[in-house]
Amino acid sequence: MATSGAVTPADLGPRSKLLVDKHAAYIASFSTVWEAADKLEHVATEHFWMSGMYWGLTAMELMGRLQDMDTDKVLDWVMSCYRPEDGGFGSSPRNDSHLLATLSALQILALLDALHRADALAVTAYIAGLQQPDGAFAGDKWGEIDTRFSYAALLGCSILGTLDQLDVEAAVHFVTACKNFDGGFGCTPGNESHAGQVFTCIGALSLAGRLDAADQDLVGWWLCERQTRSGGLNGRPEKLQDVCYSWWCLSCLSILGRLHWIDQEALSRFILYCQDEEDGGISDRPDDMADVYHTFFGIAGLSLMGHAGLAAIDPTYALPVKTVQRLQQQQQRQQQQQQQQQCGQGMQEGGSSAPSTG
Amino acid sequence: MHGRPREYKNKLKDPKAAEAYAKKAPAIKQGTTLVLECRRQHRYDQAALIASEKMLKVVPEIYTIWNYRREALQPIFAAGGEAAAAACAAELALTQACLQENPKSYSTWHHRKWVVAQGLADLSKELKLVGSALALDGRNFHAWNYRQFVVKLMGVHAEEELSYTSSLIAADFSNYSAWHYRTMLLPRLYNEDIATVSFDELMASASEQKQQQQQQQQQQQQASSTTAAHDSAAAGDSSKQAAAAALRATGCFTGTASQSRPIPLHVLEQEYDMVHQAFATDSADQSPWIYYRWLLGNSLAHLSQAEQRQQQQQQQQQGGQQQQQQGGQQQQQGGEQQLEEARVVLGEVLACEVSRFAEHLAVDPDAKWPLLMTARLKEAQARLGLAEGLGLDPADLQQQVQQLYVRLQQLDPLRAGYYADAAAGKAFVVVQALGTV
Repeated sequence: MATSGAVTPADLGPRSKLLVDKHAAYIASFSTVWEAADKLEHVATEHFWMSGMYWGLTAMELMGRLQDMDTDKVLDWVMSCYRPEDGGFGSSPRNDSHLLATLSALQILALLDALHRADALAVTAYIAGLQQPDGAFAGDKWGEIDTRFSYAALLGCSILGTLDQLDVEAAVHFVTACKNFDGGFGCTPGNESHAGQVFTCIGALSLAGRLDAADQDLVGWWLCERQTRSGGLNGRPEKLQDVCYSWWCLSCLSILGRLHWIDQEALSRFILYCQDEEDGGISDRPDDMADVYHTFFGIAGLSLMGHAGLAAIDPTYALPVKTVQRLQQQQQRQQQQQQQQQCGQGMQEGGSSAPSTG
Repeated sequence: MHGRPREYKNKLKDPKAAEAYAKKAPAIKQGTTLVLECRRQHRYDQAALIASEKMLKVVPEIYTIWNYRREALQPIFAAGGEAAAAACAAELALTQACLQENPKSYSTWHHRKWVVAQGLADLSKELKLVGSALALDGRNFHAWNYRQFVVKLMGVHAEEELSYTSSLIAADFSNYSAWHYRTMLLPRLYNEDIATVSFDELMASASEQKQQQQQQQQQQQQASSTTAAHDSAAAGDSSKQAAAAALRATGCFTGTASQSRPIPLHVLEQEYDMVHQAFATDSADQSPWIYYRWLLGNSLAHLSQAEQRQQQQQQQQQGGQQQQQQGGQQQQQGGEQQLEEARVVLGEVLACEVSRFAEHLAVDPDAKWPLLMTARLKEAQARLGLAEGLGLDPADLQQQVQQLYVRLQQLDPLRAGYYADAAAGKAFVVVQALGTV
């Protein structure tokens, strides 16, 4: 069994193909996790149910199996997590608002073409209210600072089309202050580079149109050095490979146009080998316990590498390319409408001068 | 989520294990419901808080329960006195217990920071705690993050922290986190003038902010809903402001992105010696090799600096500034002379490094890292005008460089794509970048 050496075709056996039916069934079992919350992995993860929903739904869409999920119920559930008192979303109806849950909620709404259900102004205000004087973002009103939150804020407002409500320049300044000697980024200034943080920072810089602030060759090289003999990627030097880094590292390399700096075949085999051919799902490492998080990131990684049968995923938004294109078209139309209104070229249907959410 | 072997499935077939497993879920479900229901009723009594402690020890990432505790604590900290001191001790004990179970819980470390930011904790004990956490897991970035928070508040000198990293590295060359920390400490020690904000300064600035905010809140309260009024009443303004300021102190600690000058040459010399010891001990570990790239970047930055100075002086000359011609010429010669000296010094450094790796390669000709370092060193020699001074032909060097990258494509095939771009001269910034823009 190849656990740290390269995965050969012989090793793969029943895992040599992406087991779409198995994974779809696995994810669908979480479709209404709040209803059937009896299993430990359901109950003990309520603090990130919203993110879990986003991972599951997006993975299904990439596999072309979104119809297996009860999306109407999911949408109602997502909106039940909205807290009008502060404009944020909680990870579940009884959890407080948090920026990460808010981002996941917006990603789900975008995916399901239901952004109109969100109060864009209120959510934008919630996000903007978390920005600190030095450009950083807190995760919530209790003040934890992390570049994950910079990404969540910039992406959340990009999805809503309200990025101009944030101090993007200050946000970029903070992100670049987190850049390290190896070209990578940490969670706060001075903290060690970690592939997850590298993703959030590269993603944030990409959204801000400031990829020039990254040392692209240097970080690209650091990222390609994450690939181990197993074919899988680790998140930091001398750490174990893990399927989730197939996303965190790969998306960065994709954004930076350096996907060819790793061995995609070897990585694909590693991801496939992490499948659970019995019960479905993908785990962090071969033969470990599967979960929705690793299932999504494994599928997302394969999608980035152009795996047959999977829809394309946008590396910055971590949403299907189709979703992002629709989003951008909607935002363009909105801008045109607003411009026309400003030029006084007649009334739009149901027109008002307040920004609408498409 | 991470690292749970699938034998888990087999283990669950054991009826006793299955029973214990089946009991956990309802316990967590009911416990969460109980605590959050208490909170909904604005119950912050002992029984409710004890229930929340029990939950947090099992599922420390339920951030809402930590929020609940902070709501209970805010008025206590605001009131000060013995009750506040006792509450601080209790929270430190709770977070310590939680961290023993789960040393990588974001929520737990943040709560501890929040508590310590109230100003009642013994910071030297905090430093000891984080030292213990790092002794258990030297790569725990939560602990490193917390260490920098504490060090900042205590005003520990960079020199002391540098010794700390030296001892960690001496014990284990593989500690990337320690090498990383070094890249932050060295610039602070030798070049940068980054003030260490003391806790007293933070408290002082916090009370200034408090006055401003009180004025704003008075204006807001006249028009606002009851919710806002309730919040500000319960908030305990001064402790909240100070806590917020102390938490933001984490943001004052800049990464090497702020490094504006290279480490002095004599210090680099010592660092080169240190990494070579690491190479001799375990040449496969990535950490010292990636650190080495930064050292090389620093060395080359000395050359860039000398070039920039010389160019500036040339421009001044050409710009026709009204200087006495003689003085101007002397300056320009000074600039050129410095540049020449820099080339000589750095030429020697690079040549020395090439020969050190040649020794490695004599023993193991296919060793990836010495080969990669040699390729980069020679590329630097060829492209930065450091070859001629040593009697080397840049074109010849470039050929060697290409051959080395081609060889690396075969020896390290996972990264063949990178080496191909490097061979085409497309990845040189890897060598030069100081991690700055």
